[in-house]
Amino acid sequence: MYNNVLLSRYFPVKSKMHDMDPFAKMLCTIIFIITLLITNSPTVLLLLIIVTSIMVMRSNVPFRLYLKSVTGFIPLMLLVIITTLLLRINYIIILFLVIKIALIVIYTSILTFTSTPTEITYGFQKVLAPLKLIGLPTSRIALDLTMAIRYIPIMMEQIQRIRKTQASRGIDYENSNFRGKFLANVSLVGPLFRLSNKRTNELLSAMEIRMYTVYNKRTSYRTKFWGFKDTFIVFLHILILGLFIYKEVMGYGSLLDNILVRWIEF
Amino acid sequence: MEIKFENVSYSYLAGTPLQVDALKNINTTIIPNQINAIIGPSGSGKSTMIELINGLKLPTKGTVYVGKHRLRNNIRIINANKLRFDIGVVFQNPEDQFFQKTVKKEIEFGMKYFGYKIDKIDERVNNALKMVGLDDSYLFRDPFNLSGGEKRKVAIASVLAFNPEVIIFDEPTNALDSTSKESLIKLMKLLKTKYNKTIIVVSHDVDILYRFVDNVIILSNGELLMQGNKFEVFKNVDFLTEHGVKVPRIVEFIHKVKCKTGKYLGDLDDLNDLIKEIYQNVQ
Repeated sequence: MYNNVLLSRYFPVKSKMHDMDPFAKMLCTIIFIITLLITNSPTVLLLLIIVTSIMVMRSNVPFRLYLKSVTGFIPLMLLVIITTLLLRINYIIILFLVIKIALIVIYTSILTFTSTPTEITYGFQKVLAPLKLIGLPTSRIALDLTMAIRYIPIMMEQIQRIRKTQASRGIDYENSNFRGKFLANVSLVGPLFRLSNKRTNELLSAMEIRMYTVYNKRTSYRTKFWGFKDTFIVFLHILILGLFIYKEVMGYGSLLDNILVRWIEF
Repeated sequence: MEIKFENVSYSYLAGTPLQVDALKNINTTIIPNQINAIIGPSGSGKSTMIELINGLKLPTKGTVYVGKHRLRNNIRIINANKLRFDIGVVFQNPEDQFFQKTVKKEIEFGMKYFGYKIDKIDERVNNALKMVGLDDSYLFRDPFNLSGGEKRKVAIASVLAFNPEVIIFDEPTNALDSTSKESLIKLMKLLKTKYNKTIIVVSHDVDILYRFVDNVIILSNGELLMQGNKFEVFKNVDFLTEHGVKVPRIVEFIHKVKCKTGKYLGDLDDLNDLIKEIYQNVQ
């Protein structure tokens, strides 16, 4: 169970961010990523940094955890820097790219730190809901997602168990070299598939016994409801996106951009 | 081989709000060449203790001494393979232990890693299978298609094959029928008397444990409640029941007789001995 919680990276404290509706968080993430992808204006980037830092502060999650998730992406950042340098692109744009990667990582970390897997699935289902009109089986996709998320801890548990038994019979995970570690991990694959296949069959029959079908209408059990803060934060995100589009269309705001670019260059 | 716990604590997810203290300040010794039992209700830290002995987990505080090895927090085990070679573990769920296609390969696995000579391996596999009461016809069968009891026997054989000094059994009597239980008890006694192994059994089935165990370590909520010779420990019936530890039925019976008649029937662990004693007393 502990692994389960850790794996979803959920950090169980009380905060404003934890209380938010998962659907709102999901919407915000989507709007945020769209804005971040299309923008190259320093003003909007600054606004996004401010919004993100407020949300980080509001989430009551230690900042070192966010730093940890960013440090995981350092190789990617280096790759971006090297390729862009080879292409001889302006270094301000390189800086922006690195900041963008860090922002996306931190922002998605807020989502995963403050919502449990079930909440994420719920939000996902809500986000997908409009696709029902086209005839996409959204509840089925959501079920697949739930199952996939549900399966991660099962697989991890299984891996840990097999690793333990292997370790107790001679595979040395800590002290072996890279090749040894690689071979030991490869030897996990076969039994893992086998055991998970068995688990799947058990799970299927357990669901069938309880007469589960995807196409039946289902109620959802949740304790979080859309409140004022959700509306406010989603509105804030839309505002930033709107500002950027307005600027692009009308050509406004270049003065502040210029000042910021000069400042960075300085 | 001596196994000693010195002020050992272990917490899961230490330093996070989810911290769970599995073991709290444990001081105990596991007596060599005897059958030691770790008893306690579920969630009392029995399995954690096993993993500490085997070096699969390192204590958050304190030191575990296993022979020459010292297991401490944040210190890499220098000779992990030697440690694992000395200590064999039969895990709670035999099915998790299998990852080879045939029983033979499964039993060979440990030996190959610990560097046994190839010509000796076949002989040892056959011997190990014989010890747990399975014949050669099982060698090329798929371990996943065996019955629950057979799976457990194969799991035990795979540990016996590489001849460890200490053997740990995690809930060994689960999913076994009564005859298999009897043969397992016989096997453990044989391992102790003939092969001089140190045996650690973890279980909550006190009635069966009481029959063949020499020493007991009783855990409750991660704390060490009592330890020592089984007869000595189980004399404190009231204290143990107060702390939610189940007492063997024989002990309970002897205790009740003592309370009602004032007569102590003696240190008995076998039902037949008890019946004899009662018969003599009645006469």
